[in-house]
Amino acid sequence: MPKKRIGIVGQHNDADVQELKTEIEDRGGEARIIDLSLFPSVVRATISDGEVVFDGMNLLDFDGFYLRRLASVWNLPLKRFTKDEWIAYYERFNDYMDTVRAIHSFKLSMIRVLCERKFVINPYRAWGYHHLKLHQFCVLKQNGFKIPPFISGNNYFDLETFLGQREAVQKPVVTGPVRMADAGTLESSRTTLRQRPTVYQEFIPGASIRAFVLGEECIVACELPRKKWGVDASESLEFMKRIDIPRELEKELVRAAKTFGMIFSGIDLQKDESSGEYYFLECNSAPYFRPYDAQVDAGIGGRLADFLLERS
Amino acid sequence: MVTIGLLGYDYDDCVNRLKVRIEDRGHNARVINLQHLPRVTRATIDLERIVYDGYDLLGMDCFFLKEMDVRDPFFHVRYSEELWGMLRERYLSFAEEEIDNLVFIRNLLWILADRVPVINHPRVYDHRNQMPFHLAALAREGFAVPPFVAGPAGSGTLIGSAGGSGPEARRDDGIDGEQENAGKFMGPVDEVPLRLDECRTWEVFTFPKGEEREVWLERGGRNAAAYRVMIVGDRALDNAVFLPPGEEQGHVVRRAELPAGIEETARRAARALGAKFAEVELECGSDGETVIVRQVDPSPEFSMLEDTYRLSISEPLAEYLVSAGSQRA
Repeated sequence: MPKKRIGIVGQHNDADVQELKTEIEDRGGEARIIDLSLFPSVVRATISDGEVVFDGMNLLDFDGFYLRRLASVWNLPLKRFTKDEWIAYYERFNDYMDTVRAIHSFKLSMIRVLCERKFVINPYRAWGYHHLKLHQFCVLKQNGFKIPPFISGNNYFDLETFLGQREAVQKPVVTGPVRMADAGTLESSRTTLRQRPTVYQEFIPGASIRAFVLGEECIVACELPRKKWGVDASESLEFMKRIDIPRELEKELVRAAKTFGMIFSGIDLQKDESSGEYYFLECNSAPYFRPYDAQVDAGIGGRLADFLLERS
Repeated sequence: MVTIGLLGYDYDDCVNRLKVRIEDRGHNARVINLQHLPRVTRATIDLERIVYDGYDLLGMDCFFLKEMDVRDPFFHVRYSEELWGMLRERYLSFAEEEIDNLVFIRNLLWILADRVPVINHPRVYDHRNQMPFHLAALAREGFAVPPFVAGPAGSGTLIGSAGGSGPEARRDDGIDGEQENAGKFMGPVDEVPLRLDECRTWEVFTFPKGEEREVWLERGGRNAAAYRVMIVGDRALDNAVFLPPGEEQGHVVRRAELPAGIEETARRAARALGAKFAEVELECGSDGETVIVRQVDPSPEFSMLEDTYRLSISEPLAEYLVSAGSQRA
C-alpha cells in the first residue's frame, strides 16, 4: 500500500508543525511542510486548473492537508521597515502594496483549491472563523450555547454603559492578552477608540478551560488556572492541568466545533465557580497543541496524525 | 417603505446612482461607508444590535455590498524624499491599527449577512480578490473557463492581477515580470505640495499605482466574440454587451439576440457562486457550441456600463433590492 502523503501548511520553525510531521512519519506516512511564507521569494508555485504546484510538488497528488498557518484576511504589509528599507520604497510603495495583494490572493486561492479537492483539516470555511470572533459569539448564541455578554466597537458611551453594569475583561479584536477592564481602563483608551475598536466581555469568575475536539470526540481538556489577568494565556501554560469534564459537555464541545465546520478545534471555556455552568468563549481553528503534549502528555499530535492518515 | 443600506464609498457613482433609484421608488437608502470606521464614525456590535453612526443596521431591510476592500494607505500625490522618510512611523502605526479595523468590519459584515439579506454575501464578494480560485471554482462547477495559470510571471497572452484590482494588460514579450518590475514606477503624478502638519494624524499619503505585479494570473487570450451579461436575482437583464473579437469596446445586443447558451450559462454561473447580482463575461468556444465563462464579477462598476452602453442596470437592481427588503420587512 503506498504511503499516504500529508501536507502541513505552516512554517518550518513552528513547534506544532514539527511535532505533527514527526508523528505522521513515525506512523509510516509521508509529511511535507508547505511554508507559504517562502513564496514567491524562495519557492516557486503555480496554480492551473489541473495542478497546484508548490516547490516542484503537485499538491493535488497529496492525500490530505493540515492547515496550521495561512495568509490572513488582511493584505497590508506589516513588516517593521527599517529606515533604509523605507527609503528604498520611495515612489514604489504602491507597487509593493499591489504585489502584497497579489501574493495574498494567490496563497488564499491555492488553499481554497486544495480545500475543494482534498481532505483538509480544517476546511477553508472553518478557517475563516479564525478572525471572526464577534461573529462566533453570535453564532454560538444562536445555536443555544451559553456565552458571556459582549460589546465591541468604538463608541465610548456604549462601552461605558456596558462596563457600568458588570465586571468585564477587555479582549483584542485580533490578537493579544485579555485584561480585566473597568471605567479607568476605558477612560485611558478613550483616545485610541478613534484608531481601533475594542471588545469587552463579561467576566465569569472561575476556571479557564481549553478542550480539544477531533472529529466526533473531545480528546482532552485542560484547566489553565492562570488568572493573572493581563497576561496572555500562552505565557502561563506551565500551570495547566488535565481534567475530566462531564460527558454532556463533551457532546456540546463536538457540536460547537461542528457548528463552525471545524474537524479539529481548541475550544476555550470558562466555568462559573458559583453556578458550575460552562460558558463558551471561542473555537480556535488552528490551536497550538505542542505545549499540551509536552506538559500534560495530551497526545494531540499523535491523534491528529492518526486522523489525517485514516481519513485522507 | 423599506430601508436599503448601501455598503460602499459615498463618492462611488454606482452607490450614489443606486441611492437615487431606490429613493425615486419611495423607499429609503443609506450609504454606509465602512472605511469611515473608526476615525470618523462610531459603531457598536453586541448580541442584539449593530449600531453604525447612530443607526441600528439590523433594523434595515436589505443591503447592497459594493466594497469591502482594504483602505489604500496613501493618497495619490507626490512629495519629497524627506517627507517620505518621516512617514515610516506613521505607516507602521496605521498598518497595525488597520488590522483591527479590517477584522472588525469583516465581523460586522458577516454578522449582518447572517441576519439581513446582503447582496452579495461577503463570501461571494471574496471571489473578486481570489481570481485563481475563482476560475478554478467555476471549472470545478463544470463550466468551461479559459486556460489559466497563476504564479510568478512568465510569458502569456493576457494577464491580469492575481488580486481583483488590477487592469488587464496585453503582454506577449516573455520578459520575467519580477526582474522587469524592479525599480519600476509607473503612472501619472499629481504635483501636490504637502505639509505634514496640515494632515490629520490618521492620514498617510499615496503614490500613483503601478500597473505591474510580481504574481500574475495568465488567462488564455480572448480570440472570439465576448458577451457581458448582467444578472440580477435569478434573471439576465434584457440587454447585454457584445464585444467583437479582440476589441474592448462593443455595442448593446438584446437578450433575444444572444447566441444559444450564453444567457443560460451566465445565469447558472452566477447561481453556482451564489451571486445575486453579477456581471458575467462569456465567449463562444471555437467549436461553436461551448460557452466559456471568463469571469463572474460580483461587484461590477455598473455605472460605467450604463454610461457607455446606455444599459439599464441600476433600475432593475434597485427594484430587486427593494423586493428583497420588502420580503424581510
